[in-house]
Amino acid sequence: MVEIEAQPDAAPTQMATRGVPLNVAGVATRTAPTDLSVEQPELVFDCREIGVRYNGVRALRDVNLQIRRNAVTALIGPSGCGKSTFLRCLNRMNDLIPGAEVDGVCLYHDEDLYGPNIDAIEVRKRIGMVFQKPNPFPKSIYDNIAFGPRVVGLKDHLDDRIEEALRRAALWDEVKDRLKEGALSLSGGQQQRLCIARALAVEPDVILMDEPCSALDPISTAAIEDLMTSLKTDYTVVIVTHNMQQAARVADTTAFFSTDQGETGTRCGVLIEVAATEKIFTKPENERTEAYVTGRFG
Amino acid sequence: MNAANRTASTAAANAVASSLVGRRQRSVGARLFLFYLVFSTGFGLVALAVLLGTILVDGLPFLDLTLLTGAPSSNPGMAGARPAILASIMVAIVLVATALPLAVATGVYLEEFAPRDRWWIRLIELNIQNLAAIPSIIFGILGLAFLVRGLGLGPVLLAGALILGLQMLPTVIIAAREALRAVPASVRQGGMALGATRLQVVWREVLPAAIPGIATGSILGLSRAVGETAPLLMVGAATFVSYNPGLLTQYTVLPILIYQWMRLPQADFQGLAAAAIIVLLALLIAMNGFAIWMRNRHERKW
Amino acid sequence: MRIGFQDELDELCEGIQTEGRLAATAVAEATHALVDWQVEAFESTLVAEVEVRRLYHETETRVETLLARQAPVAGDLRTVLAVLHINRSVERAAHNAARVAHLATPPPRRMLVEEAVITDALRAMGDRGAEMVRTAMDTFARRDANAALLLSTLDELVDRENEKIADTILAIDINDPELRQWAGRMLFAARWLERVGDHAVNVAERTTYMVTGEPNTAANQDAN
Repeated sequence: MVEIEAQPDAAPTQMATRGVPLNVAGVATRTAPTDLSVEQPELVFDCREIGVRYNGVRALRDVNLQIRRNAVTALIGPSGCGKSTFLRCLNRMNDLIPGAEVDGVCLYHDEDLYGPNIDAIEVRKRIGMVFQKPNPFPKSIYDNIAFGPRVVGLKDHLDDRIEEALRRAALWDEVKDRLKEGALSLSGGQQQRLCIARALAVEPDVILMDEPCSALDPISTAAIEDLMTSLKTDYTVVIVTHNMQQAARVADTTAFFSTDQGETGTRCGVLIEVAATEKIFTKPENERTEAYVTGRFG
Repeated sequence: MNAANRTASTAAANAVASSLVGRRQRSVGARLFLFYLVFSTGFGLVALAVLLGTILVDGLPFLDLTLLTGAPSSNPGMAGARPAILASIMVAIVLVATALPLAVATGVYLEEFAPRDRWWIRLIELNIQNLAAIPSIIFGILGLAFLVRGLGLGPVLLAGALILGLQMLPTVIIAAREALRAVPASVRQGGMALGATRLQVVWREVLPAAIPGIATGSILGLSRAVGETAPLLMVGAATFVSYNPGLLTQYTVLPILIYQWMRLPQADFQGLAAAAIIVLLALLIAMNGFAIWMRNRHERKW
Repeated sequence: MRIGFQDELDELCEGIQTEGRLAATAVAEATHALVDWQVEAFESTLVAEVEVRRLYHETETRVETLLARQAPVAGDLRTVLAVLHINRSVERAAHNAARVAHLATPPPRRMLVEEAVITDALRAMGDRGAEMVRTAMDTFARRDANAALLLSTLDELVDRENEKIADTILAIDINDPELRQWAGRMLFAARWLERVGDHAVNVAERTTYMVTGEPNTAANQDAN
């Protein structure tokens, strides 16, 4: 397994051009972006030897991964390789799964997320999550967004907070006249943006997205991908995606996970390679990565 | 395409078309089953209609203000059911105030907070299932031993209501758990991912979403409790009470009054009993209506 | 996995091989026409060039379809991009060969030393050029990353012959108008043949890029 630190992309805006799936121009002159004159963005997550077991059975091991600020990091790989499990480690959602044990060290801004004094509830206020299937509460749009601020204690200027969150999620114009209508009356893509707005309303630092577009049509998917690109100016985004082209389009850094035969013979997830997205998709170092991105291996 | 091919393809098309037409004839088994379903439904409806019809025919002539506002008397012309009506309503109120919240809270705890793998949780769940099946008269004996005599309450309305509450608990707990289980896990996940505590998520999102189901279960339990006779007789509900009851006084409820009137020899009392049944039914329908209104109020928000 | 895609890639590479070999043939025939003044050679060159142009368009279309439908990445992407560039180089080489063929005329004096020098140099350039094109296509087929270095060495020989021709032509007696005209045509022919060599070097560079992902900048220096 190759351990490579995620390299900062010296020019992140080049990745997100709509309609151009890969940075085709200038391929011959582009080198790995280790431009030392640009300051490396600070680390948000520094994960060392992260592993997860479910009821004693190992599902993930030895993940060394760094997530940088104000960037989109994508986790790709085949089914069952632990990407979602790893994502859940970052906001302690694995705590809610009975029998789940996390080992290794996960530093969030140099603070151990699993330290003895850390409150998981506080962690989740700073590190929000959006799920694969949109899960708005069966309430009005207003109450959906208001839930977060209300429980977290940000009760002042609620209307303004809600408008701000909906604007950032690119949903305000579509729902501003019907905030009191039920959230379940929205389309799938709108519901997912509502869930993003709901997560933004508590003013998090990081947004985790677990396959946010897999239940959506292409147009909604495109809208959410544009949203991810605009969100990274103010937040740090980590997404898990089955869709490689999506990772190619939106992510600055891509991490490829796969499975290995574990000690007991069961398959367990491992991190194979992590690098700037364009490197992963033009000349990956590990042949397993090449096999996966070219589709030679499912 | 020559003539032979054309004929062949037309014939094939016709065969497909006609195969679609023939399917309306169901097999004998399917028809029998359908008949059985319709028959059962019809049977139940007819039985209910006959029951209601008989009651209405017998009771409506006797349904007047005296019945509703008068006190029981040995003279059928003057007999009323007011104390019993009031007592039944008070029992319902006590149940809603004590047993219902207790049952819902128990359901919420077992479904949302209790650790699943402990043996004593399994034991509790098993016992709740069993409690639901216990005959009502056993509750009556229980109430007599612990509330009336043990606690020293005496044969008062509160004791009767409490024991009916105990009987009602399992039904509502099970209904509440089912309603909570029907709320998708994604709602809880979404709430917790926002940094809410489990209590906040349950109180603000899960419980409100489960209210329609809980309301339905509660009404079932409540209706049964209001119609109970045997346990109340065991805890000493009197059969002749002419004053308005209070929580700590002797009392009688509508079902017991009906029972008593049915046993009296005068023919008029039979009619009065039927009229009292109509009143009881009206009370139950009113409670049901209230629950449906509660349910609709919560469903509209979705 | 992706058997259809793999088949399309293979077809693409085979197509470019055919094209490349045809271009090499065109260069060889053009040289033959230029220095031996054979009409059949002239006609062969033109036939080959027309076929190369047809294959050029076919390859272009295949690449476009592949990019649109299959979204190749990593090694596959580099292969497709390499084919796209090589396609152009090969087509230009064949075109240059046709231009050379059109310039074929026998020398007017037949006896002069200069004429012989020029003719021999042209023959050497042409043969070397055809050989270079064939070698370049071969290194592409073998995915040889060191091809560029090899071919730029061969290109130096071509450049030396080109200079020899230029020097000889410049030293010619300007008072012989027929000789001057012929020499001028030969000068152009030499220029076209020198370009063929450069195209072959480009093909090798693209091969290096396809295999390693890095362009071979050392071989880039002598380009054009």
